[in-house]
Amino acid sequence: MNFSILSVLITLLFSQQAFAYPEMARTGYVNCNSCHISLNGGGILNDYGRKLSKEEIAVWKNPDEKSTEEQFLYGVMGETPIQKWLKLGGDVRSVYYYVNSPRSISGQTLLMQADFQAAAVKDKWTIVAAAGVSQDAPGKEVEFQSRNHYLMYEINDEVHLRGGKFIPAYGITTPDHITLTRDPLELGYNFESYNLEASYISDRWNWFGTGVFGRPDDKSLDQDQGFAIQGAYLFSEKVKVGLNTWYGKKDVSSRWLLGGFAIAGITEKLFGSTEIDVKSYKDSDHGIATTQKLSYELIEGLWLYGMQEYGTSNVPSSADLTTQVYGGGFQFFPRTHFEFNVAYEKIINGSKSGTQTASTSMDTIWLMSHFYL
Amino acid sequence: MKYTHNIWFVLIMFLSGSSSFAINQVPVEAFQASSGKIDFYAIGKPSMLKIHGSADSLKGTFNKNNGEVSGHFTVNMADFSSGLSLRDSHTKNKVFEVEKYPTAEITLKPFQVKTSEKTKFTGVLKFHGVEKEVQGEMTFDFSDKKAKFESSFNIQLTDFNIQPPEFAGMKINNEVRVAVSGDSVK
Repeated sequence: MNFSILSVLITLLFSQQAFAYPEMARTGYVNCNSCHISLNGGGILNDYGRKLSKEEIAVWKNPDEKSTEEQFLYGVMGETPIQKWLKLGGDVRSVYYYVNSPRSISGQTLLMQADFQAAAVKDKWTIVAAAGVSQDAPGKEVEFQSRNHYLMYEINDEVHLRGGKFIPAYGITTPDHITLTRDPLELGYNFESYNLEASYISDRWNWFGTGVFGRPDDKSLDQDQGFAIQGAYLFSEKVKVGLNTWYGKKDVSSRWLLGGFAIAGITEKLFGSTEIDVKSYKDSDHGIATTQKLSYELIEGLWLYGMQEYGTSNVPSSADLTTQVYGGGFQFFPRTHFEFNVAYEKIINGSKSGTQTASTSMDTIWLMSHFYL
Repeated sequence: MKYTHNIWFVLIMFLSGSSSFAINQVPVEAFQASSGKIDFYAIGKPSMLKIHGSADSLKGTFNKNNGEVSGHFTVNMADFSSGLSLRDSHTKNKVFEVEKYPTAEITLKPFQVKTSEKTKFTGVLKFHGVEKEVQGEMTFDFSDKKAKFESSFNIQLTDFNIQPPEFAGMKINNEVRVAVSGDSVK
């Protein structure tokens, strides 16, 4: 594997992750906006999310109830009036990765993200904006970007309207955007788009209807324009099951996605999630992608997890491709503001063309470090 | 002779009446809770978070008298737990004020029950130092010397001088569903 291919792979795998932890379903937080201002998760935390990051996620914490260590820059804003309506945050992340494939063995370090985020809340209006830099691959130039910026209006406690740039609701919002149900389907982080969204979130149902307008600011990206609909039912305070569909049209192609997902706090320590998507590109690729995850909280702040993925791509007059992924790792949150993630994955790619079959595999290890302001 | 017959008739009637009275007289059955809990179900906004807390130290007794049940249960609110230490500390100390009001009590007014059938009941809940009548549904499953019971009812926190708590932007609905359940023995 030459360097450029490796760089593309690493870019796909590790760049621009953002944050939302479905694992919090273990403690009853199945709706993303318990901790995030964004209704479908990720991005800047709300006050409650910051409290949880200290009290329910971190290993070590300041026992003083008045401590503000979980706040933006360790509480630099203090208990000022501005702090009630202005929420600030940011993320700095890097990854060291190691890839052992039949063609090469390589290790690299990449600065994935350095972002600043702000949200202002006034009555029923919320405005959110992020600005920062990111690097597509080692050695490439650092580029400015705004991952999201949107305006949200609360019609009532359950109904919201949102317009701007953000990730449309589809499947499970997770930082593991490297999974077969995210990047290869052009969903999730890295595929933010301009959208109009209406949502209904109750203690039983989540509904999102999103008009997707792609990236009119950068047509060279040729991102999907279409719509997404997601509905999910909360069977209990720790179990959510949903279905969603997506229609997207590019300059010269179009596609449908149909998927289902579930997240479950199986016990107070054990979390499980599953997502399966069927893809159908007009006159082109058909197949499925599925991702399963089990995570166990060994101690507060240390999670052991395992993952399994499977994907197929069947392109007419071309080879049928399969991908299998098996892996696991640890997520470690020593103290609020810090996260470390070390993982191993074995990726097996197969192809079948007529009677010809081929298979290659590679091993990856990566260590991700994350500091959030 | 006729007089003797009358005496016998009165005596027989008296005795038969007495015996039938004795057959209808069912002794009062007293049950004591051997285990039980009180659960609170609340909704937190804006995320419509379902919050479930419980206290597992339910104690109390109830009597069953000719199908009519009445009783009294108490729970130690210091045992309240919702699975999150931060939330529990805040709820117990600043919302329930458990040091000042250590127990919650419910007194069931007499009501007719049939085993395994959901029945409406009225009771008086003493919570956070306030007594207020509550209405809900209750089910008893009676077996030989045991009884299981389950009940649920809704309360408004403000009825008990509790302002719906808000913590770090998470606001709890005023309406809370309360469930009382347990096992009891004679």
